Amino acid sequence: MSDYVIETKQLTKVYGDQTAVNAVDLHVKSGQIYGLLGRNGAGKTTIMKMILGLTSITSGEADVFGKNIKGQEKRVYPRIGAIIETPGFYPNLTGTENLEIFAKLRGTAAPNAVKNALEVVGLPYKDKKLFGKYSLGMKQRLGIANAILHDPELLILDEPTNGLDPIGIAEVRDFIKDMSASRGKTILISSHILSEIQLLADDIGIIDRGVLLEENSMSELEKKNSKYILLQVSDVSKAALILERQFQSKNYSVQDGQTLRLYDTSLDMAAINKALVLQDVAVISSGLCNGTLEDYFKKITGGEGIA
Amino acid sequence: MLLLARIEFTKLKRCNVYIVGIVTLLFSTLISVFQQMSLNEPIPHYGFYNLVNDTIWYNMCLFLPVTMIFLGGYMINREYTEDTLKNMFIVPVTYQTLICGKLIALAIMTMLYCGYSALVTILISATLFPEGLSLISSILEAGKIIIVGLCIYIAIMPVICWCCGRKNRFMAAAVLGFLYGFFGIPIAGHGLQDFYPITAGLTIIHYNGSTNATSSYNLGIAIAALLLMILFSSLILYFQSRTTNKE
Repeated sequence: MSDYVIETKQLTKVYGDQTAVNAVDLHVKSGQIYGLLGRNGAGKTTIMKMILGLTSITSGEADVFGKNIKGQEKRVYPRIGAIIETPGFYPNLTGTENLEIFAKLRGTAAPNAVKNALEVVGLPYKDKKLFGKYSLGMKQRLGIANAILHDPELLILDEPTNGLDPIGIAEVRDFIKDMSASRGKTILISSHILSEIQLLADDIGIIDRGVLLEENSMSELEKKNSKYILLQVSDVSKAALILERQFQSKNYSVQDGQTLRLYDTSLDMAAINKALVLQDVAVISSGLCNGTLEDYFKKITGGEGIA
Repeated sequence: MLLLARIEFTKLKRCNVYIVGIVTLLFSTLISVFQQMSLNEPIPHYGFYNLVNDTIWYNMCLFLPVTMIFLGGYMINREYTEDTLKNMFIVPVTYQTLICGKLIALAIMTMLYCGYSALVTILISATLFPEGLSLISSILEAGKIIIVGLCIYIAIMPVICWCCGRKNRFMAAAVLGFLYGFFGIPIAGHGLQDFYPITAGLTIIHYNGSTNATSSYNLGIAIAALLLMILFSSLILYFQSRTTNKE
């Protein structure tokens, strides 16, 4: 029996000649919030869809609760609540009516399940407003209410804060944290907003162009990437060449024409300064800086940032 | 399955799409009336039975196939357009179960529409052509309208199932449904109505309203033609579900 609630092995999805997800090994631990971070189109939704069995897997495996969902739908789905992409409901029905449909289909036993779920996300029960008239934020909340309606053990939330106002984002964040901390739910959440993931996740997976570049605990990641040497020099390319040849370090990133970040903080800063000056590279400033997750994201994705 | 069928009616709450059937089936009877009234030499003793026969005929060849395919297609298409399929699949409700629920709901709707069509026919007959109208004849003839309606529905089920497979296919399917029904006119006139699924219902009720229709009905062939449609529908659903469930 696997220790993970979700485990994927070499999970791959190919559309035509385009590889949307490439050999992803994902490990979501029980009771943890796992943040899947990546830019739009990185493959986050496709991974979630494959985990949920909503799209076919080209190769590899995706196990949920130690089982492949295929053929086990009736056993596994009742233990999962999910929002994938935009919340899909019937626009001619109210929020309550929409949830009642899914409560009936799931055979939700709790008599007040719909009311409770709506209360949790801050939507009124038996309101007359139709789903078609909802704002994007309200739609998102209803999507979350539907995901928690049957009190599942695992929540798979694809960009759940999309369209929410800042207060709404904070509320949803608190709610997700509470679901994990006090109710022991396992949560897989995706986002392209780095700060969201940073504030929520216990574990993080960074995905770019379908490839899982890093999977680690947030605390490890913060520890690992807390420092770098910031060099402001007159000639960045020459400075880079010196670092590579003299210090055998390629672990740097060029920020602009004058700025370079060196992530190998074990190198002697004085020696670097001396070597640069001796080879006619003026050092405007140099110093040890604390890195952010965004810096790290830029570094491992090849310099491109994230929102 | 029955729960799903019941939920289909909830899903249609506040939808004006119901009106399509109310209007088209009203026309079925009205056309019969206008046709009768516009004749230079009206059919002598044109009464309730004639009106019912004409209504059944227009339901079959003009209005019911296109209406039910349009409604069925709409009910299926909105699962794609409102992006609700993913929510259904993770309940889990499989594609086949979902569509079967819709087909049952559509069968009930067909009965309700045909019941309404019968009521309209009875009311118009009572007002304009009362000959032959009685409580017993009303019940019996209403039953015929409903039975033929259900047979027409079975005949068009493969078209409804076909339009499930892809988003926005239902308008094309409605056109196809119209042609399917319209071709019933020449086919019934050439003694092939037992074989043609749309007209098979006429055989089942021993319809005698069309001037060209023969009386040599073969009930077995008509039932077989309809059973074949159920089989086709199942096969279409089976093959479509293999892709739709996962994409």
